[in-house]
Amino acid sequence: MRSTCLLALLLLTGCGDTSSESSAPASEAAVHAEAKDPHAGHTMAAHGEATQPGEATQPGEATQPGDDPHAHMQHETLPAADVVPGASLYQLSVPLTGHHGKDLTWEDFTGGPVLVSMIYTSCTTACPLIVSEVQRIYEAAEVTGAKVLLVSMDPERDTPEALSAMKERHSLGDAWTLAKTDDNGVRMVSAALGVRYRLLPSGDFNHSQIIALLDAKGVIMARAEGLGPQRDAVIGALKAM
Amino acid sequence: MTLARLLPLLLAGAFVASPAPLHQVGPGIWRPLYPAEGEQQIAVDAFLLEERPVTNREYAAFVSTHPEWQRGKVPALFSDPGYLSQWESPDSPGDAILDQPVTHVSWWAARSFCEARGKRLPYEREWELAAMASATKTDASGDPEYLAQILAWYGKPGGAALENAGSGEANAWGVRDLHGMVWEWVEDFQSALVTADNREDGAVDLSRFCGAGAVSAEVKEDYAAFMRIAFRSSLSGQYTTKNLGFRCAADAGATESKPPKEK
Repeated sequence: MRSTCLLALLLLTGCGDTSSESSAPASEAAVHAEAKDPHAGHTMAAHGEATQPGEATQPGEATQPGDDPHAHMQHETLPAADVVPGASLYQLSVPLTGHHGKDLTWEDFTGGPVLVSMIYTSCTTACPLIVSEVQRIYEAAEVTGAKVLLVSMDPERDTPEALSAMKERHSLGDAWTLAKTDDNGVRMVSAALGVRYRLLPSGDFNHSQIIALLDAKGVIMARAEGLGPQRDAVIGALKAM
Repeated sequence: MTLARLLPLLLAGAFVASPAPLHQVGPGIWRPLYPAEGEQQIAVDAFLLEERPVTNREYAAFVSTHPEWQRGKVPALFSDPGYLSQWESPDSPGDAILDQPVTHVSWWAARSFCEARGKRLPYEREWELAAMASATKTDASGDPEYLAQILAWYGKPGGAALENAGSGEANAWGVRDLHGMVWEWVEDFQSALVTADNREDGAVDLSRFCGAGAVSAEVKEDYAAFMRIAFRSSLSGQYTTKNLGFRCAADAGATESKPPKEK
């Protein structure tokens, strides 16, 4: 499993709103139980029967899902090949649209490491810094097959065109996907990654800088909070995959 | 239908629990303790809020119809291992705590519960607006006596058994137990305590607020509000604690709403 880690860099940088709405099947067989709120338009996170719940990942701390002491939560009815670990981000039921305008599913990222972070395209200060930080990690690790996913926290303004323009502006390669979701998706992805964000009256966002490394099944293996010192842990974890 | 599938439905009958009545709260103005520029006064639309925190009895009924939320079945992404650890068994809280607020529930769990009811969690601004009301005034935020009363709760030692949900005095909106019982999840807990400089990370925010917070606070008397912000800012979505529960809210005009102020 280590060889096929998905490096998900979920960069949540958005300039937008923060409400909620979502749907879209998450991943594989473990997904079930979607409760929908007819009023608020919430969709509950698709909910895997617990398989291998990892401990909550602490910032900068690599987690091995298989080592979890709560393996009693393992569910025997699921076919082993399709098991989604209990700590996997890919259980989230979140609609994603890429910078190319096409809908994405977590399966587009399953199977290898993914660096994930959150961004917003109208951001002028921190977001370029996050992008270059992700670039630095990605290049330093020199891992082939790693992908990068930047999720917009600004569903209102970040159209695929805006995302695509940002991708060009920063000369981001084919391994990079910029994606948007809806308000509920932003809330769920940011909660799963531990990103804090707040839309300001100016239209900017206050937000924390999180870069997460996902393994092949969507479990956070390492996380850098803020720019700088924790990056080495992420690079190390990525190299080890 | 097999017995295995039928059983949860039968058990659900063991925990018949009506949702708390909804009360209209607002519209009103909330003045955040640490406002961003341009946010000194936030207009909050009228909304509906449940009268009391969700009880163990209500949560047990939910679990019996949503077995994926049973203790031991919740994936790590959605809860830490403390989930419902105070319950006697995975499907029963035990008689003693049935009518107490349910605690040891994650944000994901609380959210799913409310969604299953066709409701949602209140936003921070909504919860805080409701919590500004004393028994007689919808805005008691400048009332020293009321603030002292709230603060007294934060001074009480923890560890004592929780009161039954709904046992507190109703505030001017008809809502009970916003203070003095448990902390409560809000939908946007993630927005708490983010500094104006978004190049800084969360840890920096905290150290900064610890040192300088009281100086920049808009309402210096409201220490309890500061406590709530500090608490929310320490949360992650999967956290559970013995003093953290929730109640549900809905948009004003939601179908199951009741007229405001029925008391």
